[in-house]
Parts: sequence; C-alpha cells; structure tokens
Amino acid sequence: MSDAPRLQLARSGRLALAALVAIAAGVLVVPALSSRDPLLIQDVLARRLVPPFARDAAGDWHLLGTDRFGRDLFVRMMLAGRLSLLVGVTGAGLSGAMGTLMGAISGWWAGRPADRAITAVADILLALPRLVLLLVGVALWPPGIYTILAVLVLTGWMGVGRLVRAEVRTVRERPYVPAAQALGASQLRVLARHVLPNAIGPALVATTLGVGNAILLESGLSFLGLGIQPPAPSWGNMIAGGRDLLVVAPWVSLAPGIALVVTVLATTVLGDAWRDRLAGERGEASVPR
Amino acid sequence: MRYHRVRSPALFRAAARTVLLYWCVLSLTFALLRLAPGDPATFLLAPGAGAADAARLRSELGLDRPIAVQYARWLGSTLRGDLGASFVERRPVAAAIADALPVSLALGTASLLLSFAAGITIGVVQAAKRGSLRDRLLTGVSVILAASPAYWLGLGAIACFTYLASSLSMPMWMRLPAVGMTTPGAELHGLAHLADLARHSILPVTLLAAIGAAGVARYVRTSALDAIGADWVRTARAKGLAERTVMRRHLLANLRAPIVTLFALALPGTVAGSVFVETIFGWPGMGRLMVTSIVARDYPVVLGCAAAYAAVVIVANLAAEWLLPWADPRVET
Repeated sequence: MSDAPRLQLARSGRLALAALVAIAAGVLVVPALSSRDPLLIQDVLARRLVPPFARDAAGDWHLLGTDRFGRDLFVRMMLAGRLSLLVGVTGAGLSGAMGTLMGAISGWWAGRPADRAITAVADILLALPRLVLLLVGVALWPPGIYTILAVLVLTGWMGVGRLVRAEVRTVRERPYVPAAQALGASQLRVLARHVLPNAIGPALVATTLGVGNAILLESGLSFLGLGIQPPAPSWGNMIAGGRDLLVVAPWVSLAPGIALVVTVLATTVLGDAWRDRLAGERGEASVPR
Repeated sequence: MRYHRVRSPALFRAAARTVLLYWCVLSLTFALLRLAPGDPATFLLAPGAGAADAARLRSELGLDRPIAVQYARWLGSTLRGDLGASFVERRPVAAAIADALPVSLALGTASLLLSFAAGITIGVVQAAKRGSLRDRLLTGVSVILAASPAYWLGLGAIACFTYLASSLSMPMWMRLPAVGMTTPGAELHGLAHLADLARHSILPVTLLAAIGAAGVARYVRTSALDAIGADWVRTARAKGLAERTVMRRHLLANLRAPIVTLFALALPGTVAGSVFVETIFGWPGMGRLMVTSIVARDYPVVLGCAAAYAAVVIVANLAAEWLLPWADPRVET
C-alpha cells in the first residue's frame, strides 16, 4: 500500500464493478433473447428437473437445467436478477437519498427541534432489527414490490442519515461556508451547493454497501414467501422452490443462490474499494485492509 | 478503584432514556396497526368471524371511542403484560412469546458467544500477520460468508450433513438431523435428552456462529490493525516482550471497547440470522413464531414478537453502554 493518495479504485473494486456490469447486462439481455417464456409452464413431464448442461425430452438444451415445472433455470435466474437488482438499487438509492436529506437537515440545524425530532425517530427505528421492521411491514400491507421498496426505504435511511449529519456538522465549520453566506447566498443554497457536495462521499459509499443488504433482505422475504410472489421469479423464491428438491435436484436452489452471493459480494467489494479510495483522496490514514 | 469509578446519575439517565425509547417503540407498533389499510378489527378478527363478532370486537377494543382513549387503554393493558390473544393458538400472546423466547435466546447466545470467540481469535491472528496468504484467505472467506444468505447456507448444510451423509452411508454420528430441536417421539430424559439436543443444535448454532464470526473477524482485524500501529505497541515490543504477550496483554485489553460496541451492533444481525435459521431448521423460536404468524395473519402475535425483539435489542444496547466504562476506563460516562 503506497502512501500517495490512491485515486484509482483498487483492482478488486474494478473487478467487482466489471462483474456488476456483466450481471446487469445479463439480466437485461438474456430474458429478452430467450425463445421461451420463463413463466410459461408446458409439457411438465418431458421438461421438468433436467440437470444442468443437458437436453430435455423435447430436445431443448438447458445451461442450468430446469425446475419442477420444466422452466429453464438460467432464463428464470436472469429474469429474477432484474427484480433483485431493481429492488436493491432502488431501495438502497432511495434510502440513501432520504438519509442524505434527513442528515443534511439535522446536521445543518444541529440541536434545533428538527434535528431532535429526526434523531429521535432514527433512534426508535434503530431499536428494532431491520428484518423485524420489514416483517411487520409485509404483515400489515399486501406483499409485493412496492411494499418491499417502501419498507426498505423507511427502515434503511438511518445509517446514511447519521453519516451525513456528522459530515455536515464538520463541513459547516469550514471557512467557505461563512464566505458564501457573506456573499448573500441563502441557507438552502449554501447547504445544497457548498456543504452537501463536500459531505456526500461517505453517504455514497454507504449507499453502495446498502445495495447488497437490500438485495439480501428482499431475497430473504421472498424466500419466506412474504416478498415477490410466484410465478414472478426472485432469487429468494427460486431458492425456496428448490427447498424440498435438495436430494433429487440440488441445482434448483444452487444456481440462484450463487447468483445472489456473487451480486452481493460484488457490491460489498465495490463499496469497500470506493471507501478506501475516498480515504486516500482525503489524505486520511487509510483504513487498514 | 478510581479508574472504574462510575457516575451513576449518567447511567440512570441512560436507563430513563431507554424506558422512554421502549415506550416509543411500543407506540410505533400501535400506530402501525392503526395506519395499516383497513379497519384494525378486520386485522384482529380470526378469519371466518361474522359481522356480529366484528361489532363485538370493535366495542370490546373501544374502536368506536376517540383514538386517545384507545391508546390509553391499549397502553394500560400492555403495561400489565396483556398483549392480546393469538387467533390461531387461542391463548395469550404473552404465553406464546414466553415459550418461544428462551429457544431464540439460547440459540442466539450460544452462537453469539461462539462467533465472538472465533471472530476475535481470527481477527487478531489476521492482523498479526497482515498481508500474508493466511490473512488474505481468511478475509476472502469472511467476505463471502457475510454476503451469503443464512437460509441458503442452511439448505447447503442440510444437503451435505443430512442427505449426502446418509446417501454415502456415513456412520450414524456423522449424520446430523435437519429439523427440530429434539428427535420427535423419542422419550429421552437426563443426559440422553441433552445429547439429543446437542446433536440437533450443531448445524443451526454453527451456521449462525460462522456468519457472525465472519463479521466479528473483519471488524476486529480493522480495530487490531489500528491498535498495532500505536506507540504503546512499539514500546511493548521495544522493552523485549514476546510478540504473543504483546498481543495477549496489550492488544486484547485495548480491543475490549470496540468489542463491547460490536456486541450491541451484532445483535440485530443475529436476530435476522436466527429468523431464517429457525425457519430452515424448524426450531420453535421467536423468528419462526413471527414468520408463521405473518403467514397465518395472526397480528397480535406479530406485534408482540416485534415488541419482544425491541426489548432484547434495547436491553443489549443499555448493557453495552454500562459496560463501556469498564471496557475502556477512558470513556466518560
């Protein structure tokens, strides 16, 4: 590790980014190109539970085999990836945005009623494990992608909020802030143009790391049958679909699980590499890795 | 000992804040039930109940009264420990939780202790030989474990240690049971019962502990690397202490504070893990109770479980706050 600030992502980070781009391209392209509808069930007896790299009785070749209804697992896995990535990126992105907003408000007006209210709400939400909050959410509202997204955002903003609050309080004391105010800039303009851009780095990193977490939570809910409802595929409900086939067809659960782990791993590694680069840019003692 | 002087008013303030926080969390569960679409009576009525039942429940719950009155009545009964009755099991929610909580606490405590013991050791070993092959290998394993969903690893463990082991006709002691806390129907007592329980615990406890240890090791490694760069480590080495002594006496003592903080942080993760592990392995704990109650639309139980989870997390946070001055006397309480 050199002492000079590293402006480029570490090799692991670039690899993770490449993997994520490949996965995103795959989930967009593969279901669009596939000749068979991944939700369609037909000729179950001839096609079901074909092992990976094998042909079914109808002569079609399946890269990852088929599930109990004879649907191609590879195409389904890619279609599921669309939902998982969408929920992960949107859920983490929106909760990052909400956290940034809340953190900016409470950091800028630190000690005032707005700050106290936001901090109190964050404390209350942090007293419940996030999965428990999610479970209560899907219990009271009808399950589906919008409920999951709403609950993910409402239960996920507190971490980013705390980070941004601390950053804003530090940045506020820098000389360019009173300078901008002396030039007649309004509070909102100073906050949006001068303070936030200098305070947003850690929030972006935390949001990136949150994508993996959101994907894991969504797939967990879907695994329990409380998230994305079949026949729409999600990595979680695909794993659940192979739960009683562990002996006869272990590939049904194995493939979506690997896709899930690789995706979450890539977001984690990318987030870590980005955090290191940020520490390097700021000339802080680099986080020991 | 002057170092361990504790300023009690601050601790009482922390306790008062905790009570206030818990009251807010309980009120949140009340508010959520009222915010949910539809009449709470339809949520709280067992499926199949008629219109007369709905009307009776509405007046019983006081849903025709002002919201403030409803809240006061609900708070009063909650403070008396009356969390309502389960529709499915037709018994008080408090009794259902009293049965399930010890199971989860035992599972969580065993795996937390194991994960901290393993995670601290691994983290310190990694930090001591930073950049070595062993360090990079262990980092890789812990990052992958942290990215893996508990239920998927659980299915993998069952596939290997139950199904594969029996299809390879491994000796009986190497085949591990996949489901339940005890062998169903077996009337075992004393040591035989304990041995049966232990056999059933191996997979779930190890799985939870491994996932936890991965997180603990990453955190401890970072904290230990911070500490190893400190002046007092150089001094300890310069005065000729063996590396082992430096690590054991000086480094570990300085890791106490981060570890106490991590303990409170690790609890929600253990709760999340145990929800899936209990579901996969069929353990009758809080996580499984909550999931089966959601599927059965048994709302009093769902909200009761949430309140119990909040109590566990809040108590753990308070304990960490109280332990911190002990772990690191420099921390002012």
